[in-house]
Amino acid sequence: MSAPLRMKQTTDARPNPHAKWVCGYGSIGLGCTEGPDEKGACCQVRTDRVRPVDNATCHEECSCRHACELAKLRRVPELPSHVELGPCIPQRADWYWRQTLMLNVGILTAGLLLLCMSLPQREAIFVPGALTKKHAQLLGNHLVSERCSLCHPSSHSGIAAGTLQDELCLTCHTQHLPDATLRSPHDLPRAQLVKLTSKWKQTEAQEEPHEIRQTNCALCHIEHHGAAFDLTASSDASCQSCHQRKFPSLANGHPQFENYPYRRPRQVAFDHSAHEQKHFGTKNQKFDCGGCHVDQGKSGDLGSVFRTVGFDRACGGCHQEAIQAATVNGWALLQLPSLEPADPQSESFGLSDWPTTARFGVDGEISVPMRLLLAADVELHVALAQLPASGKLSEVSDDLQVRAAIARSLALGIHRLVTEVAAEGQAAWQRRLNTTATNALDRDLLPHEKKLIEALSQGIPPDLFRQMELKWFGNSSAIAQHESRGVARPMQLASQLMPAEQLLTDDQDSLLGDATDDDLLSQPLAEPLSSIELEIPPAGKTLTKLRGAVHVAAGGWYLDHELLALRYMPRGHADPTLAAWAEFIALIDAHTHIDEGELGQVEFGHVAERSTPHRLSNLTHGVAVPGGCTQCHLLHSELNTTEEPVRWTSWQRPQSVRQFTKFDHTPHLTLPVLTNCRYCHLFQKDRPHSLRQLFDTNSQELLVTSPSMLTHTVGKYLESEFIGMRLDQCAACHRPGAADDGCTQCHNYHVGSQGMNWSK
Amino acid sequence: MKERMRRTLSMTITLLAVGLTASAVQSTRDHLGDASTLTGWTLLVSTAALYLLTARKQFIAQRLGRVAIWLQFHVYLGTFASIVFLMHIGWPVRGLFEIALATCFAIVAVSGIVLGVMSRRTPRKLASIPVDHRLEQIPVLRAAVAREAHAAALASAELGEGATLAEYYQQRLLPFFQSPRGWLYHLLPSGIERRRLLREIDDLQRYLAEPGNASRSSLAAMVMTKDDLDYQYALQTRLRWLVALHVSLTWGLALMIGVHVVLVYRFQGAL
Repeated sequence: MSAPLRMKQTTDARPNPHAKWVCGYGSIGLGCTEGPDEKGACCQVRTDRVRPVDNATCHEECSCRHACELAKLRRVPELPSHVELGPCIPQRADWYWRQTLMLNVGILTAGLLLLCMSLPQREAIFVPGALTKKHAQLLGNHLVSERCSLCHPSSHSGIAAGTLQDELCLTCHTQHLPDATLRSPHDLPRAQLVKLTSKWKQTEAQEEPHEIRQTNCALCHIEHHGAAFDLTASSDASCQSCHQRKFPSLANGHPQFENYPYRRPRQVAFDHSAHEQKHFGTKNQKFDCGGCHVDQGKSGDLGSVFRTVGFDRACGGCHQEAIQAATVNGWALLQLPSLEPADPQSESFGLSDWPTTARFGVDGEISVPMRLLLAADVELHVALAQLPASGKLSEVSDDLQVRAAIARSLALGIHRLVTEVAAEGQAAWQRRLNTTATNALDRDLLPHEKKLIEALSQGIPPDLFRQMELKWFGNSSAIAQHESRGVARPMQLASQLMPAEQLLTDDQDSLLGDATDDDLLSQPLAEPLSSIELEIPPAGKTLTKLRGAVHVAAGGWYLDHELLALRYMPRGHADPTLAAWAEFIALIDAHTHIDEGELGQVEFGHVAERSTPHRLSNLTHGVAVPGGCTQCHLLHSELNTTEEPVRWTSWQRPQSVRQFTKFDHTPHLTLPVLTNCRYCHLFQKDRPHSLRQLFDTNSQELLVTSPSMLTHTVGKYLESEFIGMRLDQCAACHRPGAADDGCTQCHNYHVGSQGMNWSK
Repeated sequence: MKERMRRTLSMTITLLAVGLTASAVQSTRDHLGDASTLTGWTLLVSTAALYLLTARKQFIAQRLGRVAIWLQFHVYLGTFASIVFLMHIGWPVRGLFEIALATCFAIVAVSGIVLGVMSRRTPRKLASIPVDHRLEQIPVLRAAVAREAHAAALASAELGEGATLAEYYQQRLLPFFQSPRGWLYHLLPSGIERRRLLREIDDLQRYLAEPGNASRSSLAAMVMTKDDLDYQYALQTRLRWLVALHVSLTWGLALMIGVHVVLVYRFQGAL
């Protein structure tokens, strides 16, 4: 405790502390206590003052003794004389001087502010810091309306009242952040947010209502922090301000991974372990992950690592030949089955004009594409329903009447199909597929489905159908006559109503339209169409038998007159026509056989109790379409109910969609321990079956009822092929004090519904 | 004791207010709120309250409490505002106007804090001097002491002591008595020069006879008197200049704060 200040002797009494002016002699220690008046006039010259005797001032010799301090001082001999001091010049009091200074500084500041506001460079003066590099060009715009007012509402005239700053942000950023207009957390619709939150509530028994509020861009993106500022940087605290499950770091409290990164359905049924042990092992080849997944010449979202590097580099070496071998004889999309033209026990059979080369008893197969084309014909619904799943006529009921009815219906239907396409061309083909698809899906077709049917119709050659009409069924078909006598005809086919030679002269011929001015069309045919020999060799030359592998090796449609088939020669892997048919079959199949909810019941080792179970091998799309497309490509047709088309290639991160979880292999692969892919990607060892066993007809356990179920089953199998990554694998490096473990290190904020679709 | 209690209470309230504000800021940030607005308004209100001292001084006639109480309130509120100011500004401060505003506030705040410290320490330092003098009188007194020292030095030469004391006076003491002290001394007044001169004067004792030693003692006393006057002058001048610096920027600061607030709300679209 300090000693109290002692009172000391002072040399002079203080003047009035509130006076604006003080005596001028104060600076030399001789100031008077009265001091000047408010205007700074010396007390000795004030007119209202009682003057000394004989009206003298203190500047002169006077005899006053009480009114004048100076007079008293003058009587002290050691002090300077009155004359030596000169006149008193009053000074501003200290506080008054400070106030004056304060006022002057205030006026100066106001002047400077006004000056700055009027300068052309005022924005550079008042801007609270430089913009980031990506926005810096805004302040370089010439027009005022294109500078500050691009981001700040009300900063200048010309912006509608009530405009929000976020709306100004989104005028530029809507394109790459379309869902940001929702102004909601993660750009997600409220319903999806509620769903996500409720999911967590169930697991954590959290009863506290979650506050889902509106967000603003400026909550996280704060500008004017300099050119080098990271505008997208976000602190963990910002993330956890909304997230109710709070945790200090990745290693401490982060939710465990759920089958990461294998959540997304596989598109290619590649059995890694089988390839490693069986195919590569038997060939004594190294099973190198990089061979199929690394393309050093490219860079994607995951660095140079890709889901696949494509068929040619990854698969073609082993599978190219097999695919070509499977299609060497072409694909018989439409082939006439063998039927009995007449039956001694049944008068109703009556198919006397059925091609003679197809009369070897009821045999043959109605292929899946052919069934789909015939399904558009209402008269064939009963017959098609009675066909076995394999489409083989030999498996039709032994009841003669039934067989006869089916055979007759099919014969008529096939002929109607041929004549219809011969008359109308691709339009008829497309219409039939549209009808089939609409009936099967029981809804209007989506744009991508219409596009798929257009692709199926492209390249269909109507002239080959005319050849089929003329060469297989003859000019005046007894089948048509038989049909016109008694059988109801749902379709009015031109070929059934008029002779074949009139087909091209008919005004309704859609191939020719109304082009009556065309000379070629107006002139009569030189000879009847029926007499045209399309395969008549030139004089003196004999044509060899038409073989697809030789004559149509580059791909295309051709007729096989021996087996009475319309064949297609594919162009190796990824043939667009075969792919389109496989997609279409998968689409129809998914909606014909699978009811929602059934998929979830299919598990390994579970015997699906169906009324008519079928072996998997009989139901693959590969049977319907040659080349074994669906042995590798999983056409997830159940996804096809939405606007997403079937994906043939491995799923790649779309550029337009920001995924919630992001990962880049590039920085990880620089670490020696991580160059071994199996540090993260471990095979599941204890699995009951290999993928091959799924296709094995001897497997008694795996019974499904449709190709879609097969696709789903294989997909489920592949989901368990790898062990999902564990959190501690990442946290080994990503922890405090080591590699960054912030939320945004692995997660994007602006994801939208597409980026968060794993939450479905 | 009473003053100490009052000071402890004031300091506690100030720290409590700072803590509450910091908690509110952290909570606001945790909830993605606008902490700048919170600190900004807190700063604005507390700064406006700081001007109450100036207003109080304008109303002399009214009985609005002792100015000393108002000054205490001003000091602690100023401390609180200075800390909130640090919470409010981003670092580094960017933009010409923002830098000017922050600098102005920082000068006022720092000068205020230094004033608060000095206003407590200066009286103790002044108390160590035997006689108090008004600042205005010190130049005259310094001149009088210089005249006396000059006369004493001349007289010592006439006492037959030779030129020892006179020469020393001419070389060392004359500049001390007749020159003002340097700016560093006015900023940080100290007794270094005083002790050195007294030691040197003391060393002259062996060269002087008794009359000369009497003059030497007289000169030593004058050195102490001159140094006391310089010390008083430095302490009081320093205080006055700091007050002038602290006060002179207040209106300019108020204007700049007003412009800052208008700009912020205008560019947020609120005005």
